[in-house]
Amino acid sequence: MVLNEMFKEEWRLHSKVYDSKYLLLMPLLMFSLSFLGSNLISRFSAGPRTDIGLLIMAFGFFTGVATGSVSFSNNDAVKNVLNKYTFLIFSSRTLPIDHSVLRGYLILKDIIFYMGMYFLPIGIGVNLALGGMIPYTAYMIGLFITALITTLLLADRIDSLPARSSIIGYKDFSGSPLFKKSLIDISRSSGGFLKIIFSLLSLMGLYWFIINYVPIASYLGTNPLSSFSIILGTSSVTIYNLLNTYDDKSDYSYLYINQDHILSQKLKSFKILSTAVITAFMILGYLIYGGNILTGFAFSLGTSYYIGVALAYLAGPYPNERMSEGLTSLKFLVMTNIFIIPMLGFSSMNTGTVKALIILVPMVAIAKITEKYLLYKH
Amino acid sequence: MSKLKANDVSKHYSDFSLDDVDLVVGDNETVGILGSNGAGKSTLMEILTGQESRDKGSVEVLETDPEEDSSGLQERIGILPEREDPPSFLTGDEYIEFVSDIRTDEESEKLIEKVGLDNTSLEKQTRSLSKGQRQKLMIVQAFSHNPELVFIDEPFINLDPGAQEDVKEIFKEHSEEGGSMVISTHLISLAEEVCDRVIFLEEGQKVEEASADQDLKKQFLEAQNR
Repeated sequence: MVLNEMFKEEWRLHSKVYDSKYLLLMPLLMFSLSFLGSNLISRFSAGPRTDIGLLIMAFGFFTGVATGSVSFSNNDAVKNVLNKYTFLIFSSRTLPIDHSVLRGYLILKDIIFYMGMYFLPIGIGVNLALGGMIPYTAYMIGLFITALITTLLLADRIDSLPARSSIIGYKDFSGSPLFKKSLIDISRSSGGFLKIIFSLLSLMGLYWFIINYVPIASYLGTNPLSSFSIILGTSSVTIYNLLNTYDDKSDYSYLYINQDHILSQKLKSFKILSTAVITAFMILGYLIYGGNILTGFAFSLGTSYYIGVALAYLAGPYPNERMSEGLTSLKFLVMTNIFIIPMLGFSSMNTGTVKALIILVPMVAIAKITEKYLLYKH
Repeated sequence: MSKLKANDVSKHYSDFSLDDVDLVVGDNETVGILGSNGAGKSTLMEILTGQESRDKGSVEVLETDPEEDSSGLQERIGILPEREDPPSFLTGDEYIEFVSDIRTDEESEKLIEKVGLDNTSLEKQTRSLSKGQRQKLMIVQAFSHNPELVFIDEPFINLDPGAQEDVKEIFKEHSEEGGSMVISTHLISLAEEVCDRVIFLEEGQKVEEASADQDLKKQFLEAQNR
């Protein structure tokens, strides 16, 4: 009964932001990408079936970690902090149900939702393309559930750390009011700034696993700091999503702050926060992999900027909702991969760094033009 | 000079319609919008303030259409929305500072004292405050920049009787200083005490308009039965 209502609320949440029929495009997109991708890899590369199996298992693991990370905000929601932004919990928290049971339902809902949206379509896609992939599909789903539950447990431990309000206050930041508020929202919500570090560390761990254990992707290890930098730049998606998790345009409309101003301030916050986080992770990457750190900074910061503008352009202040819609996701994949895949390809060649930088320049220029002329309506 | 002029304002949803509502608020006038639950009071308030678009009709607030250009209204209008709370992770003090950073607030300290918010409450994150304390913070922000016109939607939600009296005092002072107000409420006693004039809204339609010194309870019941 409660689970049923949670699914209805999930549907209503998506309907509020966009036409919910587009939600159904996501499984179709996942199926098409996995079917075509598996066919292409098996036809044009010597990569064995095991490689594709390992890749989908890695996808299952990472999705589990990413979904579990959302649990940081679930914790806040169960405590009735996020109010209307988490309709699912907001509407069910007043029921006579223990919070741990409520969270159990949420986990079950996430598992069923992701199975339907991602894993079953991917499983069917790779099995139809290659055959004999059922064990890998099962491992992918198993890794998703394991990673999800492990991350949830970890989120609970981090959440029990002392309150952060006494450490950092609104006055301690400088900048526009919305910028300062956005940083306060992240720092005081469950997990604080640690949830960003946790999310990026997981992605970096996945990168390390893929270049070391998935032979088909080992080419990325030729020039590891460059490919690491590009992937680090793409991972700043998490930062943009978090900056838009804790508020809504209706929070500001009574103060006559319009959506363009909200979006511009969110993007500014994104630039500052992602630069700080990327700088720290670039130093870590340099210590692990060595290489040319200046080129690495150019790749990571340039990619991150492009990703932020692409998200703002396609999803505005609703990335968490809109990016689960098939058409927007497809546009985002096309907009980003048209530059990122060739950059990764060139950066993995011994003499390809200059070519990768030549791709980076128009990518950043397009982001700049989009930000200046296309992003804002007024 | 009128502070607000609304003509034939209409809005259609799948399950509710607001139809051809007219409203005028004069200089230094307080107008109440009275109606049952679900009569369309909050929808009308959101349209008048430009937070919701209208399908038909015209609205002029301080000679500006709030849907077209609201930037000039930020300093001149105050809004107490029914559905909003202060941001969860800011403390009360920080919320007041956040609002002051957005526009010129000069009255907040005086208003904080009037609504009875103490330092201990203001140092807590607003998620830890009671609903009444959060409502007091919202009332402070609505008046703290000394606006010419204030839109107030159900002001007494979650307020105890003592706090209700404090808030009525704020309304009266605002009026004495020459300000205008639009108050949406289902409380007849509040309208009688604070408003100069009221309109009755039922099922999305304006059914009556009356001076607040008439028998509003009788008119309210008659309007409901129409």
